Amino acid sequence: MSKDVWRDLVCVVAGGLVAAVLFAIAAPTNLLPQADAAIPPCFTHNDGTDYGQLSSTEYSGGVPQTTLNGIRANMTIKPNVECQKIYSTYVYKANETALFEFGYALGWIACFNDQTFVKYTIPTLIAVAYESDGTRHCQVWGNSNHPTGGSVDNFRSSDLNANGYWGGYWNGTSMQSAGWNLGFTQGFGGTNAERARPDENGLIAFTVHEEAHSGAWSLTENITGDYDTDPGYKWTTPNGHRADVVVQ
Amino acid sequence: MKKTKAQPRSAAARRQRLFLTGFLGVSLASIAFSVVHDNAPSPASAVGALPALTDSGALPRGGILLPGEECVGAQTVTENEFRTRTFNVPVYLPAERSASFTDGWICPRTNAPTAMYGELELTWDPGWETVDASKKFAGLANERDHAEPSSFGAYAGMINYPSASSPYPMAVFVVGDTAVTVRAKYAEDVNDVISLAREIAKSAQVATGRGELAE
Repeated sequence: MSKDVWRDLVCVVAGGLVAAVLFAIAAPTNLLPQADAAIPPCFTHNDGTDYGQLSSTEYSGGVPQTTLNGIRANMTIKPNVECQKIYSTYVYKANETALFEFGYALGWIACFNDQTFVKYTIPTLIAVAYESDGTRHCQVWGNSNHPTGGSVDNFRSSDLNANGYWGGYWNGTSMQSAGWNLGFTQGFGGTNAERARPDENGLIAFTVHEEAHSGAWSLTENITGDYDTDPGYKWTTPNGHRADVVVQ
Repeated sequence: MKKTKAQPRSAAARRQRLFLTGFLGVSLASIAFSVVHDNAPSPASAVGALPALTDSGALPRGGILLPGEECVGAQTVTENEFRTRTFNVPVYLPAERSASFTDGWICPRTNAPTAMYGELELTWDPGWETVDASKKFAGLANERDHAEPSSFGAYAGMINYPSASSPYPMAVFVVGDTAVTVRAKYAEDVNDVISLAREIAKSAQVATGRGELAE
């Protein structure tokens, strides 16, 4: 190759290198996240299950109300993580064979196709769905739209027009253009908190729970903390539309 | 003379252009990576290879029920009770002699009934009155590698042939505002799933006064 060609090549490579360096500096830390195919060692349970999980559900007549087309609630954005924690809203198909979930997560999350754990160091939006045929959907907004630590944000899981398209909304903004096409239109729902280790601070207040029926929202009347596997935490429900995760 | 003076400027401009080409190329590639990484939905491509408990432990309420799995506190319901009792959803069953009922239950928390015919699970879900079933199942099938829209007698539905990303064979169709779902845990049961769904569709047509199937 002639000297000119080499010189041209050096110019192109130099341009690329400068762009790559600038991109690496400008990108948020979790844009090029750490990834690990194995269960991260920070998990208390070496199979990757939660150390503790608490779910609340809207009740009616002493049982979960199974006709919700959506649920939404406010939750504080917690910026610090030791290993993994998740806060979300969810709606389950009444027979518990399918669900849609939307919220935010921190730490090691296994969302992608190969179930590799990826570490998100700042609060990151996440949507998950399972269908009755076993199809799994998962999406994280890893590069943008990060909730700000300390703020109180509204999260929503809904299929308001009951056509089976479920979507996640953050502070009223739809995060999925058309939602996910799922095989159910209604179910029971509430809020959910999970942590991977006992020294993870998973305390949180879920406030202003609202439920959707036939496209209209109203405050929940009987939000109930009815699922708890966390040895250190428990639910307290000061009123029908607030559920707090507190120390046992 | 003019040319000699212009030469260095032209070479510098050329190197500048090449530098910019490299810069833009890498920038665009980075942005494209960023957008794809950020927005692409990620249905699992190999559900069978998932660490079995990872999602179970990370879904609200401990995870979904697999085909044939009982809910917490399940209360037994006999075949006769299925045929005589009133539930919060119309319960369509196959004709008594066409398939063998083996087990049944209702979930006390949600009143959701489930019937088992050997390895085949039969459930009913309300809430489909606002759904155009033909359109819905055409769309759902189109989004899957191994599913197809299908008719079960007079009713629009879909068959899911098991695949890595949707491992459970399933047939579903809508009668009025109720979705009738037959599914199984094992791929080899797919033909039995479809047969049972067709039997139930026949019964549903009789029950809803739509007459026997022409097929």
